[in-house]
Amino acid sequence: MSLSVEQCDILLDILEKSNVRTHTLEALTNDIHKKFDSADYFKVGSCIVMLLQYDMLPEIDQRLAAITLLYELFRGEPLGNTPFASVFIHLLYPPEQHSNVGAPKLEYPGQLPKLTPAEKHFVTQLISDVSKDALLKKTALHIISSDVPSSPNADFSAVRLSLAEKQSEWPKTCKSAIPVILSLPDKTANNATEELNRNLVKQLATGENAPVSRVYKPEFVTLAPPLLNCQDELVWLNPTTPKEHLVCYDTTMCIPDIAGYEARQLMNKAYKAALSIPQQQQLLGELEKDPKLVYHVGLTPSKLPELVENNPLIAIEVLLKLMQSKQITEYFNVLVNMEMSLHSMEVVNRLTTTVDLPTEFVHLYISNCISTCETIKDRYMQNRLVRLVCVFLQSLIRNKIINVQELFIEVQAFCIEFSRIREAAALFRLLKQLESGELGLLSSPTLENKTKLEG
Amino acid sequence: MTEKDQDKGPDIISDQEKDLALNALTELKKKNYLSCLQNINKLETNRPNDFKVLHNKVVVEYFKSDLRKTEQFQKNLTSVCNQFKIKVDKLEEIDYCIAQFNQAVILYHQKQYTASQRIMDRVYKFIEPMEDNLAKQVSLLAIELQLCLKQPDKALTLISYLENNLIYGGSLPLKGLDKNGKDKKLPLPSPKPISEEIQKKLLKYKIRCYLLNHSISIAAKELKILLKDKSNIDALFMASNLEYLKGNISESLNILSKIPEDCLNYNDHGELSKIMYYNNMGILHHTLGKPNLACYHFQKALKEDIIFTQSLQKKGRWRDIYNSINFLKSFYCFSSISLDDKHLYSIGGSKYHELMYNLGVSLLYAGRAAQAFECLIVCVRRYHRNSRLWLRIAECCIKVHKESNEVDFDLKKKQRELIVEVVGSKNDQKVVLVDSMSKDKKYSVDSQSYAVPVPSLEFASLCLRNAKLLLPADAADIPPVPLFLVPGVTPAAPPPSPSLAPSSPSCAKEIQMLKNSILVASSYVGLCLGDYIIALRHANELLEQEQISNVHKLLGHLYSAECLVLLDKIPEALEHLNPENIKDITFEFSGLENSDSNEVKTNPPPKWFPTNVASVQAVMQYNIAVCKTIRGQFDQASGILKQIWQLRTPDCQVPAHIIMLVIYIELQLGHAETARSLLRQYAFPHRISG
Repeated sequence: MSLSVEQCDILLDILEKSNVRTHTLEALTNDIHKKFDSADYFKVGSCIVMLLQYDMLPEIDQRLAAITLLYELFRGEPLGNTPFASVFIHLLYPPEQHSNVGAPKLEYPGQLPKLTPAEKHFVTQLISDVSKDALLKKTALHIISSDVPSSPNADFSAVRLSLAEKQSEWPKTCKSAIPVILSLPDKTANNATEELNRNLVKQLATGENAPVSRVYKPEFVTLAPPLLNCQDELVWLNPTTPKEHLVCYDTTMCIPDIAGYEARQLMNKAYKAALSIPQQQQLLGELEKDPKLVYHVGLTPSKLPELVENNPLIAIEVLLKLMQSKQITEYFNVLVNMEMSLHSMEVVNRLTTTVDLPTEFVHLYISNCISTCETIKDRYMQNRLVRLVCVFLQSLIRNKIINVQELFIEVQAFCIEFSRIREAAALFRLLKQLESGELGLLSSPTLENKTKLEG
Repeated sequence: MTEKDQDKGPDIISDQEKDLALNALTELKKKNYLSCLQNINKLETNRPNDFKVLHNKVVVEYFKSDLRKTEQFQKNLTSVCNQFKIKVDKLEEIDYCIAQFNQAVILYHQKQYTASQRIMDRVYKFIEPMEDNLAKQVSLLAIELQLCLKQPDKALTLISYLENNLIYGGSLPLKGLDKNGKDKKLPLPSPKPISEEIQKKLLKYKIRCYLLNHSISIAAKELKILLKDKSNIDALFMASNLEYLKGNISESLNILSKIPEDCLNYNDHGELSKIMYYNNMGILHHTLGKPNLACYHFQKALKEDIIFTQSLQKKGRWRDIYNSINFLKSFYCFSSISLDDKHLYSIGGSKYHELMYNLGVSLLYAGRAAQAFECLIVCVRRYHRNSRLWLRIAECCIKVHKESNEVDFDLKKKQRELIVEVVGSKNDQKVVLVDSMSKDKKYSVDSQSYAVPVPSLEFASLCLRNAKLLLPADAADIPPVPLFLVPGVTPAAPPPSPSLAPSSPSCAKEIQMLKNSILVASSYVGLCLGDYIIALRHANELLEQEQISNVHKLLGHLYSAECLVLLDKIPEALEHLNPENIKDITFEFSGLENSDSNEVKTNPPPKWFPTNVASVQAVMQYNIAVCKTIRGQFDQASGILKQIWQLRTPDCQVPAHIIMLVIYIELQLGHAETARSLLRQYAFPHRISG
């Protein structure tokens, strides 16, 4: 955001005493527009402001030329929109005017020089809405030496107001910045230098991150947080005996599974057709004899629907035996999702009366039943199924296996939809009785019902 | 599943085949792998489509190679499985379990615990019908896997199942299932005696679980039984671990140093006691607050680990440069090369990542944050779901950025920095003042992606985001896995399971501390990067936590205040800077009396600057002065600053920023001469002297 050394030289050449003396302000302005790209105007302006702030231009006409250039950089734009508008306001209305402190001489950071009446008059003309052609045709020195007319100051209150408004929107932290450059004259030296110190300017105003573009703002102390201090983080190593886990040889190779063979054959038949009574008894008997046999009869979750459809009694017994198995949820999963039928309902009904089934399972099954009834096309089949579901639900409710409250709306809607069917109407009446508390089934709170259905 | 499979019956196996199978088994038990293989080969010609025969052939070939040709074995096993169209996610046939189990064993040794666990989930469903010996092996691997995955509670369930299975033959009815039998006492089947060997084995697993979940008193009780045998190396290591957890560091050191150094080696045991010894030594020193000594031990352990891995590399070109971290990093790249020619059980013998984790944390504590970063970055590739590890990496970045807060209180050094440059001479002399005293703020202007793993604040902000996302949630927050699948609806992917692996799981209090640390670090990083809206959000979230240590509360208020000032809300900022907000700077949660006998005490002594409340109060007061200054209340501000300056003692250190703020206030008041003389007084002598 600062000029390069070469650019700085060009600017200082323009502002050089001899140059200012011999050229009109208009010529200087044209020069600056010619030698700098509009993208660099802000940098040029910043440098000029610095020259003014630190009183680095030895001659008063140089100062005037600098002010003129600062204004002319953004010629044509309304003053309020230019980045250096506040500089001109400050020049015309220096802060001392506001404060009534008199005694010690106050010096503010980045303070601009106090102008002579002639300069002030010129600046007023410069920034007011009048033609400046005549004004700029003069040299700076000419202007300074000319008389100051006693005309009243032009009114800039509109500009000042808009600037103040704009600034009031800035966060206070932005407005708190001061330049980092500070004059600190060496007390031992006494005679002031009269020349423009080009080196000094270049050191302050050129290069990456030049002092002129840096500011100091009051800053917080930001403490960095402590390291997390926690328990048992580092990895303690104990022996783990990896040698314990080796690959296994299948010792059952070529050892026939005689015990399971008969049962397996019967099961294979049971998937395809109903078994005869003696066959059923034989199979159930063998399963009863050896509690582990059930795992060896070749039943898998995918075969369960066939078994349920053909031999629901066997399916019930087998599932009861598999209750402890790690696979039981998979069997439930198949059961709840299989096509609804008399047999599957019978199996579920029997299971609910014998063991505690997961509530989620029972609810899902009921929902599936209801939606099957609603979607079935065949009117005869539909009637049949609805009656079945109603009887099934009544049995569940009367046996306190489900808590109706949790399914109340769904079941009630079902009853109303199929109110033409006698069983549905009966179920509806049961629901109403429950609701009014006639049957006393609803007295216990929901949670308790869930865990302890038998009361 | 084809019709043919279902019809296979006992009649198909001839007596001759039975004999061959029996011979093969006998030879196998005698470890005559060659003749065992001959028998199986003969069987194969008779029964080319028998899965068990083909499977066993592959297994025996592997045994014959002394369990060294692992890659070949894996290939063969996969091809057998493919031949029979066995897919692990559709495993329905018990006969195929063993092949899947063997796959899982290999994956376990290759440290692919999650993959192995996925297979074991399926295989374990068949545990009831499984042949006894296989069931035992499956159970043991399942237990070990849960331990590897740092799930001690799951492991304990598996252990008790295995125990019941061994004692009662698995016919013990589960409670609560049978409605009618609920009220009756079920007669237990007569218990079978378990061999002492397996009893010890189970005990060891149990103690490992207790050590992991910090059940210190039960662990101590169980460990006594094992310690009856004074030469039980495993028990000694665990005893040392227990004492460490209890905070008896010297006792732990004592036990550890009694363990013979070379009692376990790779060839015979698949693990090396030396590495464990050095590693655990390192941990003990870390806990004692000696991180440099800890690093030394971890590096020694790493050296052993590398020597071992290297000794198995025929073309290992790596030699002497052990202490260089860069070398360790390059080692990481080649540690995943061909696994052939190692015993199966020593494939996973390297503890490289665990050691790197420990070394990284110790280096961080030792103040060597850049090196720590290198180590932890290696770890995070393996343990990328570890929230705390991400936080540690972010902490490395923060430490690289700002080593300690001491710099903020170093008056001498900061005085020297007041004037950056003196330009010109004599009457023209200008000074360039410092534009910011603290180096915390670093507004990023680079176009470089944040994701480049270098220890920068930008990278830290990403790490902290990961850390926050991966915070192990409370158990209640995890949605229960649905029991039943609705057809046509693919179940949602299981929630990511963040864990603190390789470390032990932590209790809720520790997780809360971790969360607070993540929030405070996020706020700091946000503030430094100029993301003060995000920083404020994190600071507010931190202050909303029910459990919070006073030091975090302090920082939460400080950060909030700074963010609010930047958001031009100075009155709100001043509320946060109320000195009433801070009473002490303890690291523990306030108001919690902990008298739990299971409490773990392994944290190293906390280290943070400033060390006393007075200095902290000075910082708060200073920040109040900044707020007032920005508001233009210069008189009040300079009053506060004077007060701070007067309270300055060697104990109560004050922020070094004070001088610059005083100069600023003088300048703003128009007292340029006062400011100049202050500068001459504080900054100039230093510039002249050097």
